[in-house]
Amino acid sequence: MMTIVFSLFLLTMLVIVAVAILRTENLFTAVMLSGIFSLIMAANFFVLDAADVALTEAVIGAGISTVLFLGALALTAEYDRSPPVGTWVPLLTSSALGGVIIFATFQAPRLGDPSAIVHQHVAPWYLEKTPELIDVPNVVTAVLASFRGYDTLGEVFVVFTACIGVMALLGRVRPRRDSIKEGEFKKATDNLRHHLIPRVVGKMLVPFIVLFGLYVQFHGDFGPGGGFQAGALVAAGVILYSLVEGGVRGRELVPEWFSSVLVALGAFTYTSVGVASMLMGGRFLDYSVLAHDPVHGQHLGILVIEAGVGMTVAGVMITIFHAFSRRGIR
Amino acid sequence: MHLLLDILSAMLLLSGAFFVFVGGFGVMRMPEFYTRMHAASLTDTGGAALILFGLMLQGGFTLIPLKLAAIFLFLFLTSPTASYALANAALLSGVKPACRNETGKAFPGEQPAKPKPKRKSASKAVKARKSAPVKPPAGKPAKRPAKKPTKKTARKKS
Amino acid sequence: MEWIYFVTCIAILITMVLAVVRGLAGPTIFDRVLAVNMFGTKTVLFIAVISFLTGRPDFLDLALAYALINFIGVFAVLLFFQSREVRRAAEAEREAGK
Repeated sequence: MMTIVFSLFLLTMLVIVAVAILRTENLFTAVMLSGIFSLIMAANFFVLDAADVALTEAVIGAGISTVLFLGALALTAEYDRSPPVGTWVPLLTSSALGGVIIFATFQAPRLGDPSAIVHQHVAPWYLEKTPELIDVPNVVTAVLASFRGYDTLGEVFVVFTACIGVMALLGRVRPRRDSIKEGEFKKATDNLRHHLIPRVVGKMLVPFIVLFGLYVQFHGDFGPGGGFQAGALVAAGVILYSLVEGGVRGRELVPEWFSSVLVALGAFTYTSVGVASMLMGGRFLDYSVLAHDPVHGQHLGILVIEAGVGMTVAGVMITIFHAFSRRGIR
Repeated sequence: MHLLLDILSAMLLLSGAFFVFVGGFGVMRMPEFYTRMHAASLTDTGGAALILFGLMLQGGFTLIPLKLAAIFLFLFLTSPTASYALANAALLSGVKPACRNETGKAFPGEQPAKPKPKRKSASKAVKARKSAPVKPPAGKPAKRPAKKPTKKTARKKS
Repeated sequence: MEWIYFVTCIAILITMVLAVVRGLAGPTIFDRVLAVNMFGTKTVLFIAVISFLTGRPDFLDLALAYALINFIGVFAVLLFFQSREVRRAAEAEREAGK
């Protein structure tokens, strides 16, 4: 009951904010409102007990995406241009689609209904078998890393491909402009070093953020968290350092070659766990054969692939941020 | 003992909720940006501290009060810092605080005095920019800017 | 004790609504940044109280993550405006020089 009240409250706010994002023409406003959007979304995920997703949404939506959006905004104009085409056809299409979806929700089961189809299919099996087969307290991690290992592998490669796409767009800057950028002007404007309070507090918190990221990485079997969240947290620490100390120093801390190697290395680690399990006589991503005891093998496999996921996500975030900070005026 | 803890934490929670709400109300009703920020930043720290202390008393002897203390510590550090950064950004881009004394007139020295130090730093950066422009106009290289980078690279080499 | 948590939750939610209203209405863009920042702090508190209300205090990790991450965006805002002001001043100066 309480869950429904809170959820309704938050979802109503969500709709209002979403409409406002669509209607605003100032892109800076849109960025800020999307920050609020993702915070509402994260709170709602938490109310619905989806702690892992809420953590991801919090770290990426509230922290990193605002920074990346602002980096993109520094490269473009500040106002949205109204679309050149007429708005009737898109309006009709989207309202028809929306009508279909709303019609479909009448058939959807009530929130938390035990007889709903999702709770009848494989979910009980996962809940029942996780202690026996994998033996980690967080079932989400078990499903994500082991039962649904293929899906997660796919997700890692989606992130990997996205990074390649962004790098193809932003890419390397021509060396002539670059040599000027590393010069005096760049040093004066791309950091917050003359703001004493942000500098001190920011640098003080960087180790805590990275430490918390490692905690989330290795505590993912027991509580909310895992490779995705941990990678984003570690990347947030690096981004905070580069914001405070400037992009040049940030690139000295984590060089660009290192972050791009990290992206590839993470995906490679994940895949090689699958290949290793094939070589040891099992199927692709079947971790049970990795150790003498199947449960131990599962633990080992989950640990290694989570590390791979973390490496890829952290590498992608840092690479994209570096691309923006090198490219833009900031 | 248990009852005492409950009453104490209830008081802390309710007063924290009150302060949080007052902060929201202030953000809603205050006349201009800096006063709104005042309302928000003070209650962000104060109300959060009260609520977190209230929860801490309910945690018992476990890891939970420690986690709450960590949350409090981080909020206590980050929230004022964020306010500082935001006020600085606003001042830098020319949002002026509306200063008035009792007679309703603006203070004579108040308005230009506040943004000035920031302006200075900006103009310093501008000077730095002048010495090394990002996009030199194609075809006609300015003399002074071209000089400085070469000097610098020469110094670097030696 | 339950109803106290509930009342606190409701107060935080109402404050969230007020922050959203300021974010939607705010005449300057800094009001919107202020709204985002305030909303983030309120989310931390909301999650902390909710995790006690539903009796799952081990989810406090999330609130910790929020408290650590939330202010990075404001730094980016400061940097954005700083570099924009410098760029504008430089452009104005170049115009004057011409």
